[in-house]
Amino acid sequence: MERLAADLLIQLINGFTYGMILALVASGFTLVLGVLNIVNFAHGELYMLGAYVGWASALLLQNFWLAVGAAGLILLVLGMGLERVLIRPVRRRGPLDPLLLTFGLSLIFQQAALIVFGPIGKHVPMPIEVQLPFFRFGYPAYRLVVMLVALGLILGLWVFLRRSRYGMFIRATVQDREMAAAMGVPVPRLYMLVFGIGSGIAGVSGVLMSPLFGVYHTMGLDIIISSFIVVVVGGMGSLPGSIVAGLLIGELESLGSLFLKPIQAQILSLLMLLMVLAFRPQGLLGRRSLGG
Amino acid sequence: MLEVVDLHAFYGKSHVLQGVSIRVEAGEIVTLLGRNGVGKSTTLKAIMGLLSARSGSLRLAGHDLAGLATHEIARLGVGYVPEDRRIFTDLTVLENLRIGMEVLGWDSPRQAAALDEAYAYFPRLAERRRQAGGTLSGGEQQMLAIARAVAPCPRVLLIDEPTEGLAPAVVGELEQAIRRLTAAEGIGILLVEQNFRLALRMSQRAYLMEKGAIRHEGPAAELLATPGLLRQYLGVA
Repeated sequence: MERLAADLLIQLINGFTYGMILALVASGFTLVLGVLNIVNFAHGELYMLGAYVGWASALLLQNFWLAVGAAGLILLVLGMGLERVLIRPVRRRGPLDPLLLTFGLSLIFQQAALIVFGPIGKHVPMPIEVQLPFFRFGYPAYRLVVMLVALGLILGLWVFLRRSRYGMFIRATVQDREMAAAMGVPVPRLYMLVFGIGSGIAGVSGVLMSPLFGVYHTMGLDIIISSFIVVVVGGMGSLPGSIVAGLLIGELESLGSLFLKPIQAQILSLLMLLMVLAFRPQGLLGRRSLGG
Repeated sequence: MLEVVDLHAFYGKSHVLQGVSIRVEAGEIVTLLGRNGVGKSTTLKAIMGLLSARSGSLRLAGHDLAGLATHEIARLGVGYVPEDRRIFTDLTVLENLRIGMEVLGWDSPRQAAALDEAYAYFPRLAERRRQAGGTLSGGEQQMLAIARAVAPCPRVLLIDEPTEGLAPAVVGELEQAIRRLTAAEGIGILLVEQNFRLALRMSQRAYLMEKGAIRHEGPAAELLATPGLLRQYLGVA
C-alpha cells in the first residue's frame, strides 16, 4: 500500500515535470502557428537539435546551464535563418508549401543527426545530483528544477507578449496581419523573430530534458506528438491553455504508465484529444489570441 | 502631396482598377464616390499596398510608394481606416492607439502628447483606455479606428465608409472630428463614403468612379449642384 502511494506520488511529480516541458515545447509551437500561420512540423527536430547542441556545448563549456543558454541562442539564430532563407520565399505560395517544407526539414534534421552522431543516444549527466528525501527513496531535485525553469520561461514569454513593444506587435499581428502591417508593424521582421523565438524555446526544452531521457535522433518525434495534442487540447494560441493542457497530458501519460505500457499511456492522451475535438473544438482555454 | 497616377490592380485574373488617378493635397478632404463594387475600397487598399498585383505611379511627398510593402507605406505617413474598423479587439484601447507610435519608435513624452490630442478629439476613448478594444460600441470602435490611424501623425489618411451602421449623433461627432483633423493637423484625407451628401458637404473635391476608373473630377460644391452627374454615377438624385 505504501509502495503504491509512493509510486503514485512520484509519478504525479514526474507528470508535472514532463507536463511543464510539454507546455514549453507547445508554447513555442503555438506562437509560430499563431503569428506565421504555419504548422511547423520541424518543431520536434529543433528540440532534438537543441539537445545535441546542448550536449556538445556542455562538453565544451563544462557547465550545463551555460549550455542551456548557448543552445537557446544558437537555435534562435538557426530559426531566424531558416525563416529568412527557406520559409519566407515559400510562405507566399499558400499554406501547403510551408507545411511540406517543414516536414522535409524534419526528415533532413533527423537523418543528419543520425549520420553525425550515430544511432546510440548520448548520456547527459544530471547537472544537479542532489536527491531529495522522499519516503524511503530519493527524488532527483533536478526534475523539480526543470519544472520551475520551464514554468519561468513560459511566464517570461507571457510577460514579453503582454508588456514589450514587440509583444504588442505580435498580438496585433496574430489578430489581423493586414491591419498590423497597415499600422506600420514590420511583419516580415516579426515573422523571422517569432520563428527564432519558437526555435530557441524548442532548443532550450530539448537541453532541459536531455539529462532525464538522453539525447537521440528521434527524440523530437517522441515529444512532438504529445505537444501537438497539448496545443489542440489547450486551445491554439493560448499560453495558459498550453500550461493547463501540458500538465493534464503530462499527468495522464505519467500516471497511466503506472498501469499501462508507455505507448498505451499515449493512447489516453489521444482519447483526450478526441474528446476535446468532439465537445470543445476551440480547446479548453482557446481563443484566437496570444498571452490571453 | 499624395499623387496616384494610372493605378491598375488585379484580384486574381480580374482587372479591378483600370487606371485610377487621384491627387490629395495637405489639409484637403477628397471624396471618392461611385456605386457598390466600382473599386473605391480597392483603390484605398491598392494605395496601402494590400493588393499584391498592382502597377502605376504612387508618390507621397516626394517618396515613391510603388513596390513598397504595406508597413513601409504606413511608416512614410499613410494612415488607413478600413471598412469594418478592424481594431485590434484583444489589445486595449491604449495599445491600439500606441501601436503606430511604437512602430515609429516615439518616446513616451511624445506619445503622451499625441494621446492627449487623440483624447481631445474623442474624449470617450480616454474613459475606456484600459478596456479591450472589442468591448467598445460600434461608434466608439470607429472613433478608435480613426484615432489609431491619426495618432502617429500621418500625412494622408485613407478612410473607408466611416459612418456605415452608426447612429446619426455619432455620425455628427465623427464629421466634426474629421473636419478638425484636416484643419488643425493639415492631414490630407481621401474619403470613401456611401452617404454622398455628408461626404460632399465635408469635401473640397470629389472623384466619381465607375468600373474601376475615374470618370469625373470636380469641386464638391459643383457636384452637389449637378444632380445629373450624381444620378448617372450613383443612381441617386
